[in-house]
Amino acid sequence: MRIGVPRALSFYRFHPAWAAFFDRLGVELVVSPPTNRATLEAGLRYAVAETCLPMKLFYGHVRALVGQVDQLLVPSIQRLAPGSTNCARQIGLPDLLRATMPDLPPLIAPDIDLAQEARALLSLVLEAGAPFSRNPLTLRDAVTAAWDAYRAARQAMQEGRLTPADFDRPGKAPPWPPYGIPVAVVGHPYNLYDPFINHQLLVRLARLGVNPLTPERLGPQPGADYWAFEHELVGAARLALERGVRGVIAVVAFGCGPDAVLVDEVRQLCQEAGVPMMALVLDEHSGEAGLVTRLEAFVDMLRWRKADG
Amino acid sequence: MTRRVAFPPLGFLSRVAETYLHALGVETVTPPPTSRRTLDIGVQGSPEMICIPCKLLFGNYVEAAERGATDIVMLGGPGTCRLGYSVAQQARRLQEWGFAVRVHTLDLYHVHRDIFRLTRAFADGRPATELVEPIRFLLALLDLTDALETGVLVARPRERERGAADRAYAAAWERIAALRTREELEEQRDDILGLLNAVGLDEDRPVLRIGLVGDVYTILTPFLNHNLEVQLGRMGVEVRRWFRYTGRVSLPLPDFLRMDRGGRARRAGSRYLKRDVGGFARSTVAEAALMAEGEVDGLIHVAPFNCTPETVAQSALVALQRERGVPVLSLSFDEQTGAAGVMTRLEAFVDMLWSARRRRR
Repeated sequence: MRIGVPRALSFYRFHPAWAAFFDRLGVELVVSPPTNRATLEAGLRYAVAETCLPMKLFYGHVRALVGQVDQLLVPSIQRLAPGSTNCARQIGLPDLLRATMPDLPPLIAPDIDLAQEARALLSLVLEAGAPFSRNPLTLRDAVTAAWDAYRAARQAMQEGRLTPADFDRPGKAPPWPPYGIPVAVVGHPYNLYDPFINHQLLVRLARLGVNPLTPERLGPQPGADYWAFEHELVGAARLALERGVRGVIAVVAFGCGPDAVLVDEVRQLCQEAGVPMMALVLDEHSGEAGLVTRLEAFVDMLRWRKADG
Repeated sequence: MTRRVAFPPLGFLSRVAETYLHALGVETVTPPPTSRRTLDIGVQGSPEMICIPCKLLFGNYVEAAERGATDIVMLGGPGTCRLGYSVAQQARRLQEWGFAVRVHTLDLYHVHRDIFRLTRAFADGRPATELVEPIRFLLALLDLTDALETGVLVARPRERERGAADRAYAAAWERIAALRTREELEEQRDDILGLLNAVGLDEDRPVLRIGLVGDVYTILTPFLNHNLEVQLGRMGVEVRRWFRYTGRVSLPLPDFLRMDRGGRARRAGSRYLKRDVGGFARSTVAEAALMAEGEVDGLIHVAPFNCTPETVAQSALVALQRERGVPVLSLSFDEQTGAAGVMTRLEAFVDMLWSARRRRR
C-alpha cells in the first residue's frame, strides 16, 4: 500500500504530522518530486484559468502521482481556530480534485477543522486511520505521534534547524546563514519554500546578504483572526517589525483571495513603522529577470538607508 | 439628528429593504445605481487585487454617505468569503475619508438573525412584540417580490411588444414601494401581479430555459453583468435564478431528511461539492445539479473575476457538465469586461442550445 502526497499547499505545513501518523500505521508515503516545468504544464491542463498558481502546481503534483500510488492524501484544511476560516480552495480541495480529474486513485480526505477538535480527530481517525488499522491503541499512538512530530517540526523551524522544503529529507541544513540584513519575508509556506514558484527567492536573498526571517522562523503568533493562515502572515510582519527588521517582503500568489486583503494590512503596518515594504506577486508568467532586478534594487535601497543613518 | 439608513443597491433586495424600513418608520437614503463613478471610487479605496463586488460596494457606501446617510448597512460576515473580512477595512476607510457614519453588518451566513438584530437596532427601543407585525410584512413582501421577479423572467422572452414586461415590472415596483402594511399588501397583491399578467404574451413561442447560477451580487448588478438577464430575455431565453425566497422556512433537519427543494438540491450537489467553501459556491452547485436534472437546457455561471469560492464552483460545474451532459457557460466579470464580448458569447451559447434541442427531437 503506497499513499501519494502532493508536494504542494498543506504539505509545507502538515507533512511532518502525516509522515509520523502513517509511519505508525505501517503505510508508505510517496511524496511527489520537487516542482519543475513539467509539473506546471501538467497542472495547467487541468486547472481552470482563473485559479492561483499554487493551485495549478497542486494539480501538477497530483498528476505526477497518478498511476504511481494506490491512494492519495488530500486533506481539507478548514479552520485553525474558532472564528477563523480558510481559503475556499483549500477547504474544498478534495471536492475540487474529484471534479477536475476523473482518473484518480481513491482519496484519503479527512476534514481538519481545529475549531472543532473532536470532529477533526474523529474525521482523522475514521477517514485516514481506520482503513489501515482497527486497533484503537495503534490509532491513538498514531495521532499522538502526529501531534508530537508537528510540534517538534515547528520548534525545529523556529530554531532554524529545518525548513518546510526539507520536510521529507530531514537533517539538511537551511539554505541561509543566520546573519545579514534582517528582512521579514512573509507569505504562505507553499509560496516561500517552493524554489520553482518564487524563482529561488530565499537563496537569492541570502546571496544578496539578507537574513530572510520567514513566519516559520519568527515563531508562533498569539490568537488567530479571520483567516487563520493570513493572520499568521500579518502577525509575522507585526512581530518582525517589533524585532526591528529593516524591510518587509510580502510574497503572494496572483488570484489569492485572502492575500489581496492582507497585503494591504501589511503595507499599512510598514507605513506606520516607517519600514520599506515590497509585495511580490507570483503567477506563471512572472519572469526571473524582473524578480532579480527588483530584489537587488530593494536590498540596495536598504543598504543606502542604513548608510544614511 | 434623525437616522437615515442606506442599503447598497442590490437589485430587488435593496428595494425590499427600503420598503421594509419605511414600514418600520425609518428614513432611508437611496444611493445612486452602481455606475462608472461608483467603480472609480471603489478602486481608489480598495486593495488592488480584491474582487470587483468589494470595490463596487465600497463605492456604493461612499455614494450613500455623500447623500447624507447616517447609518449604512454593509454586507459581510465571517466565514463567507473575503467580503466578510473586507467590511472591517471598508468601515475603517470610510472613517479615514471623513464620513461620520455608523456601519451595521448584515451577516450573509446569518441573514435571519441579523434582520431581527438590525430591526431592533433601527426600531429605537420599541418592544419586540411591536416588531412582529413589521417582520410578517417583510415575509409577505419577499413572497410578493419573488413572484414578481419570477414573473418578469418568464414574461420577457414571450412578450409580443419588446419592453412591455419591463415597463409592467417598473410599474409594479412603484406600487410595491408605496406599501406600508400587510393588509395593504394582501389587498393589492393581485392588482400588482396583474400588471405583469396584462402584458401580451405569445404563449406558443418556443423559448429556451437557462439556469443562472453563481455569485448573487453579480447576478443582481446589471452594471457589472452588462444587463445579462434582459439581454437573455430578448434572445428568447427564460432565465431561472438559482436563489429564490420560497415562502417557507425549512426545519433544521439533516440534508438526507429534507424533502423541500433546498434539501433535494443539497443531495444532488453533494456529488460535486460536498463541503461548504464559503460564498455561494455550495448552494450554486447544489441548485445547478438539481436544475441539470431536466429542468433547463443549459446553465450560465457568473462570477466576479478572481472570486475564490466561485472558482471552486466553476470546477465543480465542469464535472457536472461532463457527467450530466448539460452545457455550462462560465462568465467572469471585472472592470475590464467588454459588453460586446459578453453578447457574442451569449449569442453563441444560445445558438448552440437551440441546435442541441433540435438534435434531441
